[in-house]
Order: sequence, then C-alpha cells, then structure tokens
Amino acid sequence: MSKVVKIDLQIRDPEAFIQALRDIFGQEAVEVLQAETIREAIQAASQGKGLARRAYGGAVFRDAVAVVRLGTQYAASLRREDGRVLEIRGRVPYSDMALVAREDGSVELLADHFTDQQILTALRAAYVGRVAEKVARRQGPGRKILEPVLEENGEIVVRLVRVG
Amino acid sequence: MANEEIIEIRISPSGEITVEGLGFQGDECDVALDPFLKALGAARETRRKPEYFQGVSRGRTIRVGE
Repeated sequence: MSKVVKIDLQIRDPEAFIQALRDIFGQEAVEVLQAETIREAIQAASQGKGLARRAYGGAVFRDAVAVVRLGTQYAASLRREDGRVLEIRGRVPYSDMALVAREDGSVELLADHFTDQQILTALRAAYVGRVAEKVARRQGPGRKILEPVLEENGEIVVRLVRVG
Repeated sequence: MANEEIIEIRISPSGEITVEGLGFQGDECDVALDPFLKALGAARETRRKPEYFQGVSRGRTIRVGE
C-alpha cells in the first residue's frame, strides 16, 4: 500500500475545496460522489458509501467524497514575491488523490507520499482563495481578492483590498 | 488620509492559516475579519498589534485551526 500524506489544512468548506481541486486539475478530472449536495455526499462517504479509491498495491478505500485519479496531469502557476511565476507541472503519482470523509463528517485530503509539495501548496492557495471569494461576495461588492503570492519562506499570502 | 484596509490571509507550509487586518479603524477590524475566521476555522489565538492601542488604526492577527 502506498504511503499517503494529509494536506495539513483544516477544510471547513468542502464545496470550496472541491472547487479548488477543479481549479487545479480541471472540471472533468475531479470525480465527485453523486448526491444532491456536497454535505450529503460527505455523509454517505462517512458511512462507507463513498467513491472507491485505488491505492498502490491494490488497497481500496470506500470513503472518498471526491477523487483525482492516479496519472492525472496538472499545470498550475503561482506568482512569487519578486514577480516571477512558478510553473508547476506534473501528474498525480502512484495512487489517487482523495478527499476523504471521516466518520464524524469532517474531511481531509489524502495524497500519495510522492506528490509534489508545490501542487499541494497551489491547492491550499486555491482553497483559501475560493473561501475568501465566497465570504467577500456575501459582503457585497466592496472587496477585491488579489492574486495569491508565494513568499520566499514558502508562505502563501492572499490579500483582499477595499475597492470603490 | 485614511489607511488602506487590507485583509491578509497567510498559509504556512505546514497548513497553518493566519488572518490579519491592516489599516482598520475602531471595531471595523473585528467586523471585517470575523466572517473570514468563521469560514476558515475557529480562532485559536488572537494577538493585538501595536496599532490597536494607538487609537488611529487597529490591527488584529488571528491564527485559525485546531
């Protein structure tokens, strides 16, 4: 069985996380458990009725809300502090990347141990950007989200400024 | 001249999220940051910045997550 790693990000908004997965991997590449709502999909997955997740060595998990299949190619970019752009390209290695539901209904992302850390960084940035965008939209047209910036120390910074 | 209001969300390489308000006045910082904190995770640690005590602008840095 392949070793998996957690993305180490508290996922409070699974809908936004699925949007972020689609931002990075493309709409078609993200398979989501059929349900009326993501909340219902999580509930089903947490009861063991989720999408099968094939891992290296044939181990199967049946608790995934969403999966990005092994071998899926990706291309993403992150703007660095100095203005240069970090291009991230590759493919999902060795086992599917899965948004897995726990019995308590919370979710976490599991990825193969050899997954490029940079794509996980881009995914974190996309998720936080999506959450911030939802909150800002609810507050009306007063704030604009700037493009995420990757700093020298590895931190991602998402800034919202007031407009108008 | 009014300070530019900026909400800054930082994600560390280990996944820790920090939300910071810059250039806010009065209670506006709390009001502006709270919806982002709720959406990203419960506040775990709140640190008032020096500006908070100066009465001109008010800043707050909050780490979120468990």
